[in-house]
Amino acid sequence: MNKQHIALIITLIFTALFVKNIIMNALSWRGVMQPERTMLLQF
Amino acid sequence: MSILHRFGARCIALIERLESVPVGLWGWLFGMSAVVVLRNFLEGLSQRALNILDADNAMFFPHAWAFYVVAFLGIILILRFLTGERIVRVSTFVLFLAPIILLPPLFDLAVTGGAGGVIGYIDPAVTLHSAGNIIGAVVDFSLWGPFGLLFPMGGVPDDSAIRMNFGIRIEVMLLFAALAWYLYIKTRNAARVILGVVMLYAGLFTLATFPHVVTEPFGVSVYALFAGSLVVNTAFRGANTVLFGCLFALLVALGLLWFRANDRRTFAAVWKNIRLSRLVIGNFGMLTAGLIIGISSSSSPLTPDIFDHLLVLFAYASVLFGWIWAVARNDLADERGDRISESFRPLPSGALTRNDMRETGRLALFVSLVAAFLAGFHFFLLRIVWMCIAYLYSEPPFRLKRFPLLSNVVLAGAYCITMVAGYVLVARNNIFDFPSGIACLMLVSLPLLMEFKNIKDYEGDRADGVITIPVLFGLERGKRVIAGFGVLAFLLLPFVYPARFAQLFLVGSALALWYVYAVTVKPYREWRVFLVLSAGILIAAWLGIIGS
Repeated sequence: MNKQHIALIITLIFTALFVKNIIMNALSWRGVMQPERTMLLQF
Repeated sequence: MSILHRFGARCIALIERLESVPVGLWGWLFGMSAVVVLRNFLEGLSQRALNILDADNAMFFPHAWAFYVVAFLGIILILRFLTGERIVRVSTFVLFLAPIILLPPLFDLAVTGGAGGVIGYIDPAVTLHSAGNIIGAVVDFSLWGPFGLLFPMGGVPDDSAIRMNFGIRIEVMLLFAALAWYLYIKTRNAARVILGVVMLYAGLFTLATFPHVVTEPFGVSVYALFAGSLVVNTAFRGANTVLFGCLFALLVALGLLWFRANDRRTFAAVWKNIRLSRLVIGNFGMLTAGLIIGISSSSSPLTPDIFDHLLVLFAYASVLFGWIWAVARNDLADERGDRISESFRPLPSGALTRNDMRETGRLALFVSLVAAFLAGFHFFLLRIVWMCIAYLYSEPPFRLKRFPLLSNVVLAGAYCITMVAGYVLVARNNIFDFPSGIACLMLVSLPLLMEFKNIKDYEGDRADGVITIPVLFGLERGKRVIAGFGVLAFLLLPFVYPARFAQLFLVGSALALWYVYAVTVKPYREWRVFLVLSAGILIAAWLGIIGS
């Protein structure tokens, strides 16, 4: 294993985590309707 | 491995193609702004309950514009820092990622049919008042928060609790995945990919919790944004306006870094051309003097908050960038004369092209006007007047700098305007209450004193047909005439403040003698004259304080 392989694996890990989040976020489309809403910039 | 290789080769080819598209500075800015406006209009549609599209929330659009430009500038600078790629190429690539920000409102409209998920700033896990808390909040945000790499599967808390809807999370993760790959393809270095992700998370945290970042580390609650500035510009309040101001400051700082990374030599040439002594005395000095007079003549004690300090900073930035604009216009108009007497200036020496000059002028003018507008309406008005004076002074067909003494009166008017602008930075001060003695000194004494600046330009002015006192009388006799004007100007001091006639007569005489020496001694050095004038200005400002 040379340095390039390590770099590739690490980037793949990040990408996998990001992609996992994308999928998970997409799945959370169900149940997004909320009657109570927080105002933007209300922080 | 061969599939991965093919995928990698495709990525490289795509990035290469996107990076080489000729976009240009204005193409980038307009392209980015168009995407951002579209995003926010769609967000207005998908977030109907937030009334983004109402006139009351008009400042949402500048706020959001500054937000995204800062975000993408930040991304560009991080990528450039880690890859060493030319920043123009990085910027072009990143511009093509910008349409990703259209996704959240589109998803939202498709899924909720206009009811809208929640898009807004996030509350950090803890108050950001200490370094330890900030680090803790960043770690929490990057790992378990709604954008976190380890954001728990299942059991997704409802969107209103985390203040971030699914669309935004998808947008951010897509961007991050693309950027991590870009870093890998460009560097093939694991450490840089990790560092890049860490930096992107730090940037995302800063922007996602921005209202907290600009308040809590300074020891005030996030609700201070609603009150905004209390002393300098009472219209600078409300989340949209104040956050626009803070983001604009960040935008200017990142923009400067961008220009430095783009072309270090051009960047340095612009700063070297700044005529430091005139900037410090004629602009910053006048503004400071006006501000001191303004503060000291305020009837009730002033309690400035952090946003007042920010606005004062904007006032100085407005003066600085207005000056850069004026110098650029002046250099373009004076190019022929400068070839003879000021051949070191960037246009004759070739350090900057005419196009560089024009672009610098335009950008500086834009920054100056926005900064002035934030610092208050009267300040803005006076800056516009200053710019008009500067324009009439150096640009044809009027080009008032051609006329001896009249040109000085015009310049003195500009200085006086800057001083009054400093005075009205205390919002309760009225333009009409500015001490008339000081205005009189500025408009009468200063024109007499200022003729010295033409000594240096003697050769060029003569060649260019500019009539000045040294050109009219010859250099040596001209210097004596100029010294005479100076004596007259300093002896006017006691007449403006007859209450302190004797003291001022002494001070004025001393300054007059010093001035005669500075103008006539050989070899002539301009800074000697500036020194005398600084002393004079300090005394004038002091008079303003005790006079009020």
